[in-house]
Amino acid sequence: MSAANQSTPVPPENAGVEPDIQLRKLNRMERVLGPEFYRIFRGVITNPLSIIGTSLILFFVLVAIFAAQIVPPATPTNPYSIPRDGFGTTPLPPGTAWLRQAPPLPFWWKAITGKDKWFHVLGTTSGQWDIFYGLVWGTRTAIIVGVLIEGLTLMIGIIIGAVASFYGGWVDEILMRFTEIFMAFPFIMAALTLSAILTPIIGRGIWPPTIALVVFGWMSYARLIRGDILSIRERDFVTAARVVGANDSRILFSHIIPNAIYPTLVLASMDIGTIVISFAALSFLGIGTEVGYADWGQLISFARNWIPTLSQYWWIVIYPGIALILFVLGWNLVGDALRDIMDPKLRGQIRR
Amino acid sequence: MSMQTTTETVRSPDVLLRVEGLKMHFPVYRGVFRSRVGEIKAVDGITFDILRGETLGLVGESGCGKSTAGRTILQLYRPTAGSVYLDGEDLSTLHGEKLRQHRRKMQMIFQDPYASLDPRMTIGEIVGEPLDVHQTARGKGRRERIAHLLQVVGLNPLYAGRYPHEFSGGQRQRVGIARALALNPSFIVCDEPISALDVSIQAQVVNLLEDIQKEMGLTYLFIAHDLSMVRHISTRVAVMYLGKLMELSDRSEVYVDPLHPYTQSLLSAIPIPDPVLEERRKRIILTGDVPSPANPPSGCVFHTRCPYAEAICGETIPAWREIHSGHWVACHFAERFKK
Repeated sequence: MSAANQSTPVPPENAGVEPDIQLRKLNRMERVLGPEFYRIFRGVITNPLSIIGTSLILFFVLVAIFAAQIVPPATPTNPYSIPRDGFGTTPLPPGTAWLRQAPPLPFWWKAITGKDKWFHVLGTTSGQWDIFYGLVWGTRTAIIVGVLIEGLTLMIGIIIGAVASFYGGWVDEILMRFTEIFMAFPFIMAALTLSAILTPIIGRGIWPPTIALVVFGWMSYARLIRGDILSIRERDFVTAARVVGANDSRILFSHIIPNAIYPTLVLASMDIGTIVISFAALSFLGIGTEVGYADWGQLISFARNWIPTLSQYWWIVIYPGIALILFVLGWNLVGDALRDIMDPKLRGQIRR
Repeated sequence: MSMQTTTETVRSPDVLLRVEGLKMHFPVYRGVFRSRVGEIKAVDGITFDILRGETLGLVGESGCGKSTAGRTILQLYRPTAGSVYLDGEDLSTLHGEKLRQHRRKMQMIFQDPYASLDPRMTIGEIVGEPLDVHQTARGKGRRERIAHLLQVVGLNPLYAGRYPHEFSGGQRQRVGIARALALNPSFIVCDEPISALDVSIQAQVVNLLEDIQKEMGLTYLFIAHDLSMVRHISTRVAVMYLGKLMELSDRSEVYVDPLHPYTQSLLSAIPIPDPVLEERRKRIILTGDVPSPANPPSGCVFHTRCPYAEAICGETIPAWREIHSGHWVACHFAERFKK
């Protein structure tokens, strides 16, 4: 802060007389977004890592939005169910003709491939599920699951952390011990168990693993925001708000949370990738969505029986693996960039 | 403590703020069961009046409880004991909404202009917050009031849409002053408002504080550790040591004829900008450190470091007495030091 201040040339002030302050001109974007958002926005669009990250995420978002245009659903009532070309166990290589249950031809098919009929673009996996179809529709699953789980865990974490730190004392003590109990469970094992327990109760689908990942995923946010609120709470500007007579909710919502939430948001953006991996892991272990549901983890799980011969049937892990890696990489790059942008030590450099 | 209070004096028109036996003890908890093992006596029974329109300087070394005293007077900490009367009304008995309403009358200017402004608010929002909280102005009236306040403190109203990080320390302190003025208070606690600023800017901010005091008839409690600045701005000066008041008198009397050994030693530490006089200056150098406020010495809290201490000083707490009109001191031997 002080370093940034020194670098700003300010002419000497004159008390009583209106000082001739020469301030940097604000552009319209900065006026609309406010200083913090503008700084983040500018950082995101100028930092090379974040440009790669955001483009990756943008790419996946576009694929998810236009999934029905890229690959029209094979069964319109249940587009997430991957169509099977027969029941054979041996994976078919990319380029094999699609004989049974082929989806309708998309508009781009002829122009790009020059063929009149579907073929398996990326091959099929064991059980003849089409990998290309699974990847495209699995993008939707990945984004929905990532955002849903992240949103729910973030919400729970922020509520628990904010209540604990704002009220302090015994409330804080109890909530934090509760948080620590949850942290003591090994994450994947606990999520696996809970998901396995929930599956017979609410049926297979994205919900059992989602709930399990939320239940065992909120703790780091609660602890992070609690710590930040505890430090912000003691800052002078909070006292100043109290001096002018602001009530508790105004202080909490317009001073404390807006100043404390950014590190938690950075962590959240980095975690979306991890969550999709955990979700894929649960699917891989068979405790996830129903068989044939368009989900990257599930596609990889079909390769389980072919591990010794993967050099021959490489496409059954390489393509879903690449999708998963790029998705996680995208979120991690954005999270990394956000962390750099928000780092108070780098503030001055980025602002100027 | 020895001061007699009658409702008459509380309501006396000259007295804006009366502090009576104010104590602020912070409990210390330790161990698994968080048992209370003691308390930090940050403010330990102080009594004084602040007259309408005056500036009372409050000085003392770091950790003596000056800032805690200021914050306890504003009821930012609820006092352990004692009362604070503002315009005859006891603030320490008020709670919730009633106390919130009384906050209009008393404001505070903070030491650190970098920490006291919310970095995510524009200076217009910061200055306008008191108006929003008390719903005193809306829409156009609010905007005009903010522009006026910024002008009063010497900032261009066009910059209301700017954020604190775009301003220098002195300009930010002006924003803090504008916020304090927004509700037309009668009393402002200035908690070391200039000690975080460059020397060249200190004078400007002090002059601004003096100007608006004259213009708006404000009363200040000016907390500082810079003795020469306090001498410049104060009407009267109070000296604090380890949570207690040592001496309180008119500025000239405290600086020319200090009756408490602690005040004398503080004043002897002011360098004189004349090498000849500086050479001959007699310094009273105190030995040791300030004792812990968790375990203050018996009797007079200053006796462990006082060059004149006698047996009685370690046994009996000296009375807070008015040795002559308007000159209060807490020392058994104050008469000895009289010139």
